[in-house]
Amino acid sequence: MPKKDDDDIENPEFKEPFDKFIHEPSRLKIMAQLFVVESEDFIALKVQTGLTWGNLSSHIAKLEEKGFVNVKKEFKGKKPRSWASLTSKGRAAFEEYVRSMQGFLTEKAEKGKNK
Amino acid sequence: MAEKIDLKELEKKAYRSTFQDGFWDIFIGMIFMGFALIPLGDVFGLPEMIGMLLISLGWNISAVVFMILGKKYVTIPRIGMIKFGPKRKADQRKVKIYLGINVLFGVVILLLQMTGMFGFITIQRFALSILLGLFISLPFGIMAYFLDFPRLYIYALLGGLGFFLIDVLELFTSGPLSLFLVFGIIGGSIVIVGIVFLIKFFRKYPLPKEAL
Repeated sequence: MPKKDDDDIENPEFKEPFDKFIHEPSRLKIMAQLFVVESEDFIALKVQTGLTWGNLSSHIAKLEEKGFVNVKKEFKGKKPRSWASLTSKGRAAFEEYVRSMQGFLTEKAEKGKNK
Repeated sequence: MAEKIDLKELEKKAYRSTFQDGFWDIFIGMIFMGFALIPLGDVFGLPEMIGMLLISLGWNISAVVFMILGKKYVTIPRIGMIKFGPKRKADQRKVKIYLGINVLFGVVILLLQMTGMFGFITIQRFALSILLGLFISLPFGIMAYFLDFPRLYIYALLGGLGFFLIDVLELFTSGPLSLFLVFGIIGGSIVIVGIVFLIKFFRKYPLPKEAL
């Protein structure tokens, strides 16, 4: 697969080596956090990722739209609690992202050594 | 992305955040303080075993209730809830089973003691201290392992050492007073550690103003 390098900027055959949608920092934080647990409520997700409510809710909505995240709302008395978890599609996409990222970085490091 | 994501570390950080509130420390400290309160049975004129049973049971139930309410009304509204993966769930199940066995074992020992079944056994004071120390350190040490809660190893060790300290103190003072002093100080210190963690927790995690 052709990789983007300083010389590849103009290469029309270039294909991103990893999923750009997941690569966005806030979404990556959410996906990574949900990958290591079964599910989390939104308060925990906010605390663990350090995102603001606005950021969290907009990225969760995008991830949900893409089918990566599943959101469930439950009520304890009158209080709502929203839970988020990765779907199997989301889990597979994140695993693929990690794999490609590791491959990409290893390749870059080897290229750096050879230069 | 400049930040490196270590997935194992991320899971561990999320898991250990549940111990940042100090409620486990306060709970363990209260359990140890419960030993210090056993001589109070005498003050109320209760028979030794009944007093021991009532005071430990009452105090330990208060400690459990305190922790449950603290988690429900202080911790969860501030840092939310996380359902962890199968390995953590299995470890927590093991802790529950292990604690159940321990309680059962304790009750059986107490009942045998109450019926005078141990009357014929003579045991050296030093050996008794080792046995009692192990009876405290071992369960708490195993709990620390399965809960992945490193501070609990120190508390397990302190609890086990308590009985040796009682032996030393008894050279200078009466039995009930040494029990009261040793476990009062050990339990009290652990409770203070828990309170410090709780204060830090309140500062670090104020109640969220908006929720989704």
